[in-house]
Amino acid sequence: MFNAEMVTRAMAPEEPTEEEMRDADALGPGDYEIYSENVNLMLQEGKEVMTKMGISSMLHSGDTLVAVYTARGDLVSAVLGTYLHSVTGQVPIKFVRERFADDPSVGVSEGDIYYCNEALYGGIHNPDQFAFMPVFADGELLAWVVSGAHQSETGGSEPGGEVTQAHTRHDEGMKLTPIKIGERYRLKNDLLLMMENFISRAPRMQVTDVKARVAACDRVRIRLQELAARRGSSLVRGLFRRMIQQTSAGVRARIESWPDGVYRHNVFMDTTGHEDGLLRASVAVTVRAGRLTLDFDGTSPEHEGSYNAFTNVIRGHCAVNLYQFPFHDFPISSGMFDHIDINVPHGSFFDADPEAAISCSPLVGAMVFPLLGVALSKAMYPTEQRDLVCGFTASSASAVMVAGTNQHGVRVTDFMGYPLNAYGLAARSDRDGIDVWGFPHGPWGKAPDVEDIESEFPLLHVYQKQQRDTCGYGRYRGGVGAAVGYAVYRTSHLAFTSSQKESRFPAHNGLFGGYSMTVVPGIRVLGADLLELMAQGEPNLPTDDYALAGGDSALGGEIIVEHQTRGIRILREGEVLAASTQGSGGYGDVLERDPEAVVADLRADLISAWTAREVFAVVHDPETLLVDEPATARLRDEHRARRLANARPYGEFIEEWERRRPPEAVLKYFGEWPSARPNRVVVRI
Amino acid sequence: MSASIEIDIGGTFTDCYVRAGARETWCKARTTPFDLSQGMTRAIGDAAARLGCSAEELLAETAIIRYSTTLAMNKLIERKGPRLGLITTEGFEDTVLVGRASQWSDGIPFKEQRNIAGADKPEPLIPRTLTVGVKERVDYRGEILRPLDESHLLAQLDRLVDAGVRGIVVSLLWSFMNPSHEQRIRELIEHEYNETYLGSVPVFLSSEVSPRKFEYTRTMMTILNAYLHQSMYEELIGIGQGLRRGGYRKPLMMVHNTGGMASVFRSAAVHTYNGGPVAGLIGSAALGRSYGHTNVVVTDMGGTSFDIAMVVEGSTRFYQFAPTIDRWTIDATILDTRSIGSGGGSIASVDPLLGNRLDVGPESAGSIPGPAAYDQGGRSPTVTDADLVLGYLSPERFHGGQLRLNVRRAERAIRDGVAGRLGMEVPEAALLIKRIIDAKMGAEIYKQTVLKGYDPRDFVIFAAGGAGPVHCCGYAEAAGMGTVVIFPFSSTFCAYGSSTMDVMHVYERSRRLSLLTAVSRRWFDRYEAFNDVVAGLKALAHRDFAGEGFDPDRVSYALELDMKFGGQLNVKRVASPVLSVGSQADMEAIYAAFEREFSEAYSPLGLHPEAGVEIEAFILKATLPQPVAERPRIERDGSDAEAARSGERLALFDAEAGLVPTPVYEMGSLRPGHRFDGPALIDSDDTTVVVSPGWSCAIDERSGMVLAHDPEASRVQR
Repeated sequence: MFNAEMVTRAMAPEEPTEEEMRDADALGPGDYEIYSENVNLMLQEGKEVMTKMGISSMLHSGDTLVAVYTARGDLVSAVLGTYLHSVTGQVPIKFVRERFADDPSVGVSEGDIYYCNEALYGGIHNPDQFAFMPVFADGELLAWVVSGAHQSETGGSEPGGEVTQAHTRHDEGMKLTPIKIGERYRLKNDLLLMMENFISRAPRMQVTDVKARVAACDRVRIRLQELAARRGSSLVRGLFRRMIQQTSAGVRARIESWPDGVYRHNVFMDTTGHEDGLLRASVAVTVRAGRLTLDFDGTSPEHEGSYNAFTNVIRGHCAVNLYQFPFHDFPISSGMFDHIDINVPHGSFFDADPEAAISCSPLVGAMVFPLLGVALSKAMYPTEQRDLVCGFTASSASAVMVAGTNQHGVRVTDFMGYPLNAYGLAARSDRDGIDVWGFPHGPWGKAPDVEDIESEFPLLHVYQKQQRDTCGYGRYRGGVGAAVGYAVYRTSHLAFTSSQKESRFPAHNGLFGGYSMTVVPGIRVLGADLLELMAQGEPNLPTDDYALAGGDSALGGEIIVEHQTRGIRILREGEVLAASTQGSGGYGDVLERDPEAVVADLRADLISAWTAREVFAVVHDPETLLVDEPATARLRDEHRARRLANARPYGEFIEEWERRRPPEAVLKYFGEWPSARPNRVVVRI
Repeated sequence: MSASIEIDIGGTFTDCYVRAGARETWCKARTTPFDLSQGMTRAIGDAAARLGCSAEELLAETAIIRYSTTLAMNKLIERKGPRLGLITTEGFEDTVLVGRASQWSDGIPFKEQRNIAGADKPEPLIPRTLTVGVKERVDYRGEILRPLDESHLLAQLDRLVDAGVRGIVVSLLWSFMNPSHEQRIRELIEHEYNETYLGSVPVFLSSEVSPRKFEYTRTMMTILNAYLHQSMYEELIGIGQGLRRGGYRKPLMMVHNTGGMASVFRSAAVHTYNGGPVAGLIGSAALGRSYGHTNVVVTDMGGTSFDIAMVVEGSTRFYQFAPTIDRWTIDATILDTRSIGSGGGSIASVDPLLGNRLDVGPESAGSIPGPAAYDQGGRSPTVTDADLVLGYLSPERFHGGQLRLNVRRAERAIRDGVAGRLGMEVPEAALLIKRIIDAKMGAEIYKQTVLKGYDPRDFVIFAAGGAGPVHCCGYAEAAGMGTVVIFPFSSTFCAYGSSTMDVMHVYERSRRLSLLTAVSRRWFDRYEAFNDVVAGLKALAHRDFAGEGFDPDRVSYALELDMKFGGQLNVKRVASPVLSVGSQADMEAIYAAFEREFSEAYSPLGLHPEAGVEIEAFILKATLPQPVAERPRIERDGSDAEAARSGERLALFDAEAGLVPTPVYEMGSLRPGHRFDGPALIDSDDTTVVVSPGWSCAIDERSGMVLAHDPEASRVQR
């Protein structure tokens, strides 16, 4: 049965064996440099095989991994679209070794193919499915290979894999504990059929993508065996150990170069997935003597909704921040975690009960992105890593899903990949963020073209573009998000669900005085007929969310503005739904922004004239968009004078601040105010 | 005498290869960026002198000049293109700026991609302020859902013209399915600003430049073409005038990255990108045929990069997956040539944070300041410095003696940058640098070969470029390969390659047809829909060949199809066994070809016809074969190469053995039949061939140097 202690332990590197250390010491000059590159090329080859064979849109969006692990399950190297799974991939391997290796009814033999998608055994949520294979050389277990990718259908009570209305794990569809689906390098068709049966909304995707994962694993397995045959198993073993050691030594040296201290940050989530409410996520990052401690104490308690996570989910999300920012230049191996301690309080919504619904856990885990983005930036600011200071992104990091029968008569269910990949990147210490930058979990993923989606789904895009005024402002502004409007087309109806958040309260607070980005609502227009208006040549159709929600166009119909977390919404042909994304936080004081940069943004339609004047205090000619420098200087002086007028001694401010309290209605799931300790019993049936 | 002249204009050198009857010659001249015709004229003059005639006499006898260039790329890097405007569908004005979101990671190495905080999107070729939307909409079937609002278009057009644009790109959603709105926009622009007005501007339609699905890549192809068009046009006018002054009146053909060539006036600018390496690939296929090698890995190691490409079973039919030009992903049929950052200028560095890991490349010292040994201010140790310290390069012969190498500076750079930090002697560190760069290149060859489903041991290597012959034994061994061929003209290999190219145009069109349906499992039977697409592409070929003065009836056609199983994200390019269809048997034959190619490339595990099988695009290759002259054969002259031996140099091949006296041969003095074992060095003005221990060198009848590896000998000597 599930063992939380084992999961936590499995994510930390094992003590090296004497044999591994001996083999590492025996490497000749250049062996490490040469063969570590060889291993990375093998993994690239595997990932290419998986990507080109697969179906799920997430293969383009980048929620993928092909990685190699030591015989005892430590991460050696990975080629990936997301760092999440590189560390969680260790758990099922170590579980199989502990539980099944000596079990004669299961065992671990050459040619075995294992599979799993159960978050309790190390994954992030059950849409993430993994194949893994042991690699034997000369009859001895030498390594493991894992390949995985998110798949947007799990057979849950709602389509799409992220079940926003789930109450418990029992609403969330197929959850496979580590299971052997093949022997002697051959897949078992009875188990493939079982999976098809579970995933009956998208059986084609399930079977094709299982095969793609297995083919990728097998390709790397063959290459590793070739290397072992050519250079001996001991070279491979020694190489793996050296690759882990090098990351470990580099990470330690970097942390040691940072000043000791504690860096704190809080962010807030505005929904449980079922209800609006305020939940807090806290972190204290401690740098001390070459160790980094990430303590999430102070995070709100678990709840009955669908937005909960497990400790391994949070650890995986920490890895995303750590590998992408402070340690981006080190090899991707488990050695990083030699020097990092993570405390995720059990009973918080970061580490809920095993019965909790967690299929939306990436939404929860993504709270870590702005949390660590800001806290680690504070730690790195006075160091040589100042160029890595960046608040990262908002935490919504999801998208709408659609389900229905497409124009070719095929049942389809999938994420809309464009909004998924269209979040802004926060401002840096010396420049703006990046507009419509990517998918925070897997930043290298690709947003699909309109023509890609419209040929496979019964949708017509109304607009798809950068969204004005969605960034956080500051001396350097965050990147803006994207606005996407879909009309249902060539089908009588289509179902949408959405596991986004941040419609009431932004999770990114900006950095060093920078603003939060704006929140994004969910918008629907019912009873309208966009297609008829188009055919009539109506010139005034909505071209962004502002026009859609404001009713400024000729579209008509009933405009519904709601939270982005949406259960199933059925739209008829010609009706419109917006699925837009957040920008990200700003950096520094808005009054320090170069006025020319402000009007350049205005010309590019990235901010409005109102924002230029009211936020950045830049006076400009509305026709020529030229800056009136003296008037701007005067206006900025007025803003500063108003700030001074509002100033008060720190003690006075704190006294008043601590008396303040959010309305009771939003604190139901917060926990005790202000500690966020659990204050109610969560009942799940 | 009937002659052909091949020119490859690079950033530094203009390479020239000439065939005149049974004779051949080659040479290099400095590129003259201010007026390319000057460097070209000088190169032709030098080649003529080697043949014992004047440039005018050579040009008078020349039947064809073929030309490739890297200058398209330079124009992009320098951002010296014209001010362009973009007209697109209203609501989708940011498509290019968004660039599928992670555009910031396109065209940079993965190491840089991992540094999220350091990322930025490239400066757009058309700013947002010069992009306008028009009210219109077409759907995926090509049906017009919203008619074009012409009065709105004219207002938007005035905005662009007032902003001073010098060219307009029009790219609307689904225009490849129905181009009528794009065509109407061009009509209106031409009407409003016709040729007699100063405001007249060229108009580029995406449905004509790249009639393929996916609006981002189609728009980028059209923008790049428009951006390069004007500057390349001016350059070609200059070259044409230079040749005419010399008395040349025959066609000037341009090498295309599709693997063919066409008249300069029938060439789209974007197809000329990467023409040189593609010419090298085509030349390798021809050389392979004459040598009886059907499987060849073509390698070219220069100053900053290592390019590889493959000939498999005599064919070059591999295409780049999501090719990138500069920082933009496009969708075009470009022959697959790979490039990694490994060259003579690659910098060796030690990373103390990673336990003194020694990395070589991809950072490069470039040509300025270049390796430390160049004495131009470079202090970083490079591969060339290592090659010099190891004794492989002659300080006096580098670049034909035009650049004397400074051995002491090279030693100091390696001592300060590598040896001192690793606690090694300088020669040992130099050998390690060579071993690592060779392994990197070997691993890339291995990966590219196996990824296409082949065993590298079944291939021979053709080694070209200034540094290729120095390192070929090393990277061949690292890839597990045992035969390398080096041609005497290896330093002008790409120019030679264009002499073997056919006149070829490639036409593409996205058109989705369900070969086998998923639900009803029915074979496609609307044969006319398939045949109409092919007929439309053939009509374009007919127009172009006739326009170039060729007989269209002599053109041969080959059809390729982009195919996938239902729902798959990526397509597989498949050679269609039929040009037209008329029965279910034709459909089944197409499927069989798809299944075979898919299985070979990925895995039979991935076959899933139950999901349906779709054709996504048609690619028609129209070819007019050109005669390829056999390279001259020379009688073998005994195996003793002593007469070609020019002396010996101390060179290092094994750290323990230290520097050993190594025989040096003069490339120009080697004769067919000569044979000797490594270690040995072969000097020439353009390169040095390093024959490593365990390798032998034999000169064949076409003056090629065939290096062969004997693993047993290698083991004994090491």
